[in-house]
Amino acid sequence: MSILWMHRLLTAAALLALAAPLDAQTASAPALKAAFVYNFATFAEWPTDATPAGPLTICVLGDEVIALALDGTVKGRAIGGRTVVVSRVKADALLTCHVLYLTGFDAKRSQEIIDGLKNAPVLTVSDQHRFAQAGGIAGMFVEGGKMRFAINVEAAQRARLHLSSRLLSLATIVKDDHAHP
Amino acid sequence: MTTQAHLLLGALMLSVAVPARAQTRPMDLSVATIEDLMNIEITSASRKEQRVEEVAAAVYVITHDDIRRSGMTSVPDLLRLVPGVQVAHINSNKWAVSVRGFNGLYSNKLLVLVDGRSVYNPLFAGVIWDTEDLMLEDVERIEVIRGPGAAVWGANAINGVINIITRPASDTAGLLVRAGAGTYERNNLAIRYGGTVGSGAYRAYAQLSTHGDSVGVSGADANDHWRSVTSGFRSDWTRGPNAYMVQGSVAAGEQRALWFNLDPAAGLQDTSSVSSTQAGNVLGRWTRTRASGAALQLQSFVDIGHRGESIGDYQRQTVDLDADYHSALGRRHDLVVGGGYRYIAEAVRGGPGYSFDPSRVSESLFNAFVQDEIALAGRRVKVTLGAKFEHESDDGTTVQPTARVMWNINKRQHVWAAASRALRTPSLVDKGIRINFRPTPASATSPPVFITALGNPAAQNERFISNEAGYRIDIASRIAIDVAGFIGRYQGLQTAEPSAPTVAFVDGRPVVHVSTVFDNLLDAQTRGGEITARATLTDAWQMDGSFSAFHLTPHLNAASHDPGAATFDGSAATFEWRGHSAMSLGPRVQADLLLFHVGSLRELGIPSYTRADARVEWKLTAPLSIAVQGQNLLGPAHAEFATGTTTLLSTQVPRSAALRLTWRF
Repeated sequence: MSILWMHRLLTAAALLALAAPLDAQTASAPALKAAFVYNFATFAEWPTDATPAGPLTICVLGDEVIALALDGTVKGRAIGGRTVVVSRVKADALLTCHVLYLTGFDAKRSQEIIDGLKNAPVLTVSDQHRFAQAGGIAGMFVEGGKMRFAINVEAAQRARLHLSSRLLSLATIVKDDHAHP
Repeated sequence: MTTQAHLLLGALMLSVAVPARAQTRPMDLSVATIEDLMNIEITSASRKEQRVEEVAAAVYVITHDDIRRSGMTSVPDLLRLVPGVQVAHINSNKWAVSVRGFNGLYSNKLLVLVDGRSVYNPLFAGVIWDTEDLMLEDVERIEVIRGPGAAVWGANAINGVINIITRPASDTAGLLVRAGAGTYERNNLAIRYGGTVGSGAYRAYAQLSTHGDSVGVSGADANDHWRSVTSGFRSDWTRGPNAYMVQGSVAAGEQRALWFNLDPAAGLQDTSSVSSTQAGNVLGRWTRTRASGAALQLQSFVDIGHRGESIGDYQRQTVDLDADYHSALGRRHDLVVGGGYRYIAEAVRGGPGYSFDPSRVSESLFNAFVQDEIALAGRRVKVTLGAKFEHESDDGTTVQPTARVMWNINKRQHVWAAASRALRTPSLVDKGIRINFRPTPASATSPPVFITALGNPAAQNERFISNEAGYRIDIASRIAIDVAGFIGRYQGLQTAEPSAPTVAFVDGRPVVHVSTVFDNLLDAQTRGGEITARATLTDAWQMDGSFSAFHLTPHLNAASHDPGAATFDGSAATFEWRGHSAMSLGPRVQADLLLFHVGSLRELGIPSYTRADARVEWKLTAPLSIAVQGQNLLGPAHAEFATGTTTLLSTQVPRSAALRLTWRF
């Protein structure tokens, strides 16, 4: 009798141990931002005429910690059959990027960088204040201790990027603060 | 072996084998879904980022939204939202705040930090809240840890840690102007401007708050109005893997603090004197992060303050330097190590009837802590072992250890338990205060009685052993329930031991003199718990509520003659509950209703009360919003605390209404 009871208890414990795996429990801010950047790339489709073959390039401008975190995140991964590479770039060589993560620029300078892309199909991402409202595509921000993101759908359309509805359903949808060409 | 034994063995092997396999695949953020990433939350329970659900401690977070929607305008009032925290109005500019009991004007078992800067007053090891008039629009969140946090934060984090975290400057860009007026919270004006320069962001702000009179015991105005001016800045910037933060503020205030005048020559209960306070601080922080998440942080602050009160004058300077390093070690260990140095200099000038010996002290405090979180059973179980070591020239070296275990049953259910030892080291008040209370008037049967309270130069540490456990469940992402329970044992709590009365003759008339000396002759056991529930009823309507229970049993020491020890109840109610309904009435209007019930404080003779607050905020245009609120709506006024033999008059909280306009550009 008592063995049967223990058996049931242990079976229950084993079943509990088999239940769904856990989330990542702790994350540094850079690791979390890098994971978001990688995730954005998985939810985007680039126009067919943009860099048809070769790897998918995630460029990082202005933040070595994120670049290092992305190195670890993308290692050995592929998006839509394309290998993913992380590239540290300068502000004057951005057109080879599929995704551009930039940070640490004031509003005026980041505006110049966005304008410099001339609506090229680059998924721009930043954690700068009101980045998406300033014409960027995805802006990350912290709210209530959790990471959130805003998407500027018009900016994505200008860059001829298609973003999945799953991504948009999780985003705060924003509009341009100012008119863009 | 029998079939049952085989099954048993099989089940055992299964329960061991499954987690072991999971262990070979360490957690990887890139395989987490984006929905999961959005659930990762950040707390400071162990000086590192962690999801609230997975902290092996009783944690409650007041979010930026909670702050705005509560309508509360001061940090102590905001803490009314937290279960297990006792908040009581003493008068218009003084509060009693404690966690899990031991409440009073001089609560001394609680650590309060603003962006890592300790704001407690080393004179009595507590917080005088009137100088912490923060601009609440800039507060990102307030994390409250109930139970000892001493293993990381050190002495005085005995019953709890309150961590106020302001927003990074990058989150407060633009211009904000707030103007308000009310019947109790009087006129207030705040201006903040934030912007970016290169790779950094900054903000600067100034705030003026004026507060009206509370209601005296007789029902008349208590004449305890006050005002404060605070101005400050914060700047954050990054360069490569380095993040920097510098902030500072200056504050000045003037209060009718209602101190009893101790001078026998002055009129009886003359409480009309004006107190003035000045304070300033600067804090700098450098964080260097590696891609692995390992981070080194150096932080330093300088904090100076002055209080001029009718009963005395107090000055302090604090210089603090801290370093900590957080890194994973192998696949199982997550290590935080740190150390620090703090220099405190204090000077007190007594007034009539009130003095300190010594009146001027300085102390150097060294500390080191280590904390290791060990992942077991496929990261389902995490064991945290930690200890804080402190060395102070007078009090020697102390060790404050903790052991915590967190069992993540699955994504939605978490169970934790903890055992900790924490200490409160004696403050200057405990060691060197001398108060001559006003003599009782002579009567037909008794000559006048003089009472003197004296500190004890040999004051001991108060010792606390805490055992806690908790359970959290998330039901369909709609309802979150958090339950925590505790049993604690205190040893060497402070008592005031009376000496035998002596009779002296002054001008030929007899007077009786009784002195009391602080000693550490009370032990006590506390038991209790808190239940919190948050429910998202619809997208536009959220409710949350909590219930907390507290009971203290004093264990008298035969050597003690403290007359209050036998009836000591921790100055906390046995039961408290609170509820908050947050509703959106369309995209522009938010309506909030808050209810608080606090049971009676038996020892202090304060009856139970229920408080109701209501608030409506209407977004008139994109930059302009208007909020109308009423507080303490259920009655004209009620008392929340009695300060007993301390030297301050306690009053009643009035019913009030206020209006606030906020522009954001």
